[in-house]
Amino acid sequence: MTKKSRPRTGADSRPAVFLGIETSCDETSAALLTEDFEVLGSVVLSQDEIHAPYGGIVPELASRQHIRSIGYVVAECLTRSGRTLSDVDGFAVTQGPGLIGSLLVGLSFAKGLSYCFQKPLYPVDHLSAHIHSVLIEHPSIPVPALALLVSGGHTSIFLMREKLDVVCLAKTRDDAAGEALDKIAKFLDLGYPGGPVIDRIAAEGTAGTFPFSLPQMSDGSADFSFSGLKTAAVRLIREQELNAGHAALPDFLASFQQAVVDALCRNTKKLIQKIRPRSLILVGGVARNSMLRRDFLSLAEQHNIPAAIPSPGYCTDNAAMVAALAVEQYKQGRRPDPALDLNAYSQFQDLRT
Amino acid sequence: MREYTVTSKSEAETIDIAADLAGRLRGDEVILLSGELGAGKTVFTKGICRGLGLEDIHSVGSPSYTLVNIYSARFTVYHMDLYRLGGDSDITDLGWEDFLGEGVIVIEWADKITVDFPCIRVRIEAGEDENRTITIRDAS
Repeated sequence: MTKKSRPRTGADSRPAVFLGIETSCDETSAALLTEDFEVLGSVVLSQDEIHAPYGGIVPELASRQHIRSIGYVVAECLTRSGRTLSDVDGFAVTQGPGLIGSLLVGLSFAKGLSYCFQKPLYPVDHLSAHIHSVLIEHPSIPVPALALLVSGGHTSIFLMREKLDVVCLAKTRDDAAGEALDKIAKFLDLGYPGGPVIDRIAAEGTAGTFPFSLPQMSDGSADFSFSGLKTAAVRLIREQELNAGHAALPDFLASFQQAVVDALCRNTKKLIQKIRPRSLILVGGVARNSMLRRDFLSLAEQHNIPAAIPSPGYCTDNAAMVAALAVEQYKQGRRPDPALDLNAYSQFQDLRT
Repeated sequence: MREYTVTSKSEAETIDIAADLAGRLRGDEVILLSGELGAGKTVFTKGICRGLGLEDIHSVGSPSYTLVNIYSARFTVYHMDLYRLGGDSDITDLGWEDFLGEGVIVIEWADKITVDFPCIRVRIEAGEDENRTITIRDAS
């Protein structure tokens, strides 16, 4: 580790400490990490059992909800960490992509802190932060690493050539995998959040009972498509009159979920064989899915390379991953631009074929 | 105002129909898409983007979770989605009116918008196989 050869910059020669802030979508989150990726404190509002003094409602997709929560979330994170803002050596914030109004709350708040305490503010790409969430628990992941990012909003494969050099190799052309799972759960009225509900019911069923054909890209690309699987599922639900109490539901959900997982793993495998990475990374909210974790690990085993999957709490949106990416930037001596602005687009070089 | 109904037999035809509509846009319209799960609202949006000259229409994906996707075509396209939103207050919180006049706004699951204003409403109804009935009501 480089930490041994570099002088500590934190107060009293302690490891430097970074405060990450994430407000790009539904979650208001803050986390404090050391330069050794140790999480001192992490608060994620929509998942935590905190019922904040302003009413305790789950933040709803909206900037004004972030405005209500941000101060409380940061204060709670510091309290849990046993630190104060003066202990922070650098700030990190999600710069995009996401909802402009929501991003603006986190960015303005972080800019204010950075200005007030005269400490650097590291801008972080939301998707890149997801990929770097593995560093929290696997800081020495071998590169080049092939990273499958699967969430409600995104389904992509990236190549991490070096820790801060990430390019996009494939992405979905329509729905994200998590979205397809959630929408089918909602269509069947199974409750929220849909992905974990399907995972639970599918565990009692047998995959392959219901037929699903995997999407084929006529141009040979490793891009994904889940819209067709979703439409096929809706058709089967109608034809077989499936509903929440139906005896065949576990078999149906196991079959559907397996088809989604197969599509994810098939395209990952295709790129493993083409790129020959030294490790595999699985990140994003759907990385919590048990079937996907199992098959992804088995894929890594087949190719005899290590696989890193974050703990469930670091798979969904969180600020620890934002701070982790800032820590990596700091370790590599990157100096953030004080004039940083919002970024509605993701910044990856697109190497899709 | 004009209203017309067309039928599509495939995704490719739906894209053509949407591209044709896009060819008549001034660049500041709001297009409201409705239709059930899997009807082809995102496919229709791909067609609008193609009609507006976007090269990589594979990059047009569902905004159900991201809420807003932005594409740089001849006009900027703000592709939004109300699938996860509840009532009118959630929709107002989304801040979509900030994009009004800045480009073409395409909104999926738009039947959740109850107020009436100048816009183009597109309803897609699924029939047998890939058949779709597409009703376009232009009051922009």
